[in-house]
Amino acid sequence: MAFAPALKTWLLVVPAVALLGMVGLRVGERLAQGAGGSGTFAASAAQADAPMALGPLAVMSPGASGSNREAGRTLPSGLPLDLRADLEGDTDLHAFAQRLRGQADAGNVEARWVLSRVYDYCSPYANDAGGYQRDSAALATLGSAGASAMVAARARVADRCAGFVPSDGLGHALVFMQRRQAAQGGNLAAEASLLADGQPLQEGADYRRSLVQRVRESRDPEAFMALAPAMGLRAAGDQALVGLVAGEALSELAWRVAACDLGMACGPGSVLMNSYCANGGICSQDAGQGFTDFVYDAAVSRQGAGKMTEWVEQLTGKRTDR
Amino acid sequence: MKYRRLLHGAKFWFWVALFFAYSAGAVGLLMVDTQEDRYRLLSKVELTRVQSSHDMRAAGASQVAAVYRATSGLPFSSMPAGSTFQVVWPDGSTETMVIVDPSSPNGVRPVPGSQIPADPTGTR
Repeated sequence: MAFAPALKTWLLVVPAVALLGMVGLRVGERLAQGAGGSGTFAASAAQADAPMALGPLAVMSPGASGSNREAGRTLPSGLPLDLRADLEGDTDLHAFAQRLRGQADAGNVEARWVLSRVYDYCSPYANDAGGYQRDSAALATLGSAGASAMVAARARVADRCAGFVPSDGLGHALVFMQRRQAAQGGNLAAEASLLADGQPLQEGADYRRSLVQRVRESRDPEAFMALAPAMGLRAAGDQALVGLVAGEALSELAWRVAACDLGMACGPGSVLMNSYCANGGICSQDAGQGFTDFVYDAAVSRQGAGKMTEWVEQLTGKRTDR
Repeated sequence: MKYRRLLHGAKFWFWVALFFAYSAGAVGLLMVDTQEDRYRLLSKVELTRVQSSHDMRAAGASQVAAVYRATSGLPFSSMPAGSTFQVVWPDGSTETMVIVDPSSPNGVRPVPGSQIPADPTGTR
């Protein structure tokens, strides 16, 4: 009879002891980590390199895993988590490029891709700042609304790229070299840009089709945007790209609008809108218009809007409400 | 008599065929003359010719394409990616350019083999 209460006691005591033991172990681990000193720092430094091998989305995505965010916080250069976002706004691009170069040289392919975008964006100003200003003055005398908008867009490029000089060597050769290195390191947007440039990483129809499919599956907005120029008229007649929204002038724009839908900065003050206007002379007459609205307003006829929306839906896999 | 009628018909159809061939060529390739006021003072255009460096010609053509679009009224449909145009440089030399990416300052490339130097006896 004395055994029965003893059994009940053990049934209560054993789980309690086990629970206390587990709590004790966790507390012990925390204490050991806190006293870890240089050993823990080395582990953090190793973690800091992780985003370089994880590709663009791992670095930029706010929804990245906890460990990736942890690694991102330990980046030693003072670079922000989202390199692509920092290209927007009023960033001093010369200083930004210097920070990016350090990261790129350390093996961060995402930094190298963004660096190539900075070089491309700033090259006309960097190579001849005086000529750039004179051209803007000449454009101002034309008097058309498009030319006036172009002058304003060029002024923004000049403001943001001040600091670059001709000896920096910005131009297609440097941009291409950066993109090739980034692509060889595994950056998908850079790889897509090489195809758009007409100098893909590999030759062959199978490679082209597989690259386009990889871009679609990645849902990486910058890869969509980088690939877009290859999917317009230049893809006409390319059997490798049949059925992949390719071969027409509007299919290029569908890829770009899809990039905007997937999260690319496409607002009225974005680098995209600024580049289109300053470099391409393609300027919205409505200063408050983002890229998607601009395309539907100025490039797509009312009757063609349905086809455009269908293509964008096909690329993004979701309904585009307009 | 029958031979002369046949010869007359052949001549007629020759000129008709020539007219349509020329029209098709003219419609298919846009030509931009940089002597126009809106282009000739641009920094990468005013001294450029087919003997200039590849980068200079590409930059000049990029400027020409941008100004063409900005003053066209139909910027998206003018010179889209993949299209070509023929540029006539200020010295009269000509070459064909292809648009690679209209949003990039490095997005226009000379087509290899399309360069025609200026006529040394030309009057430009």
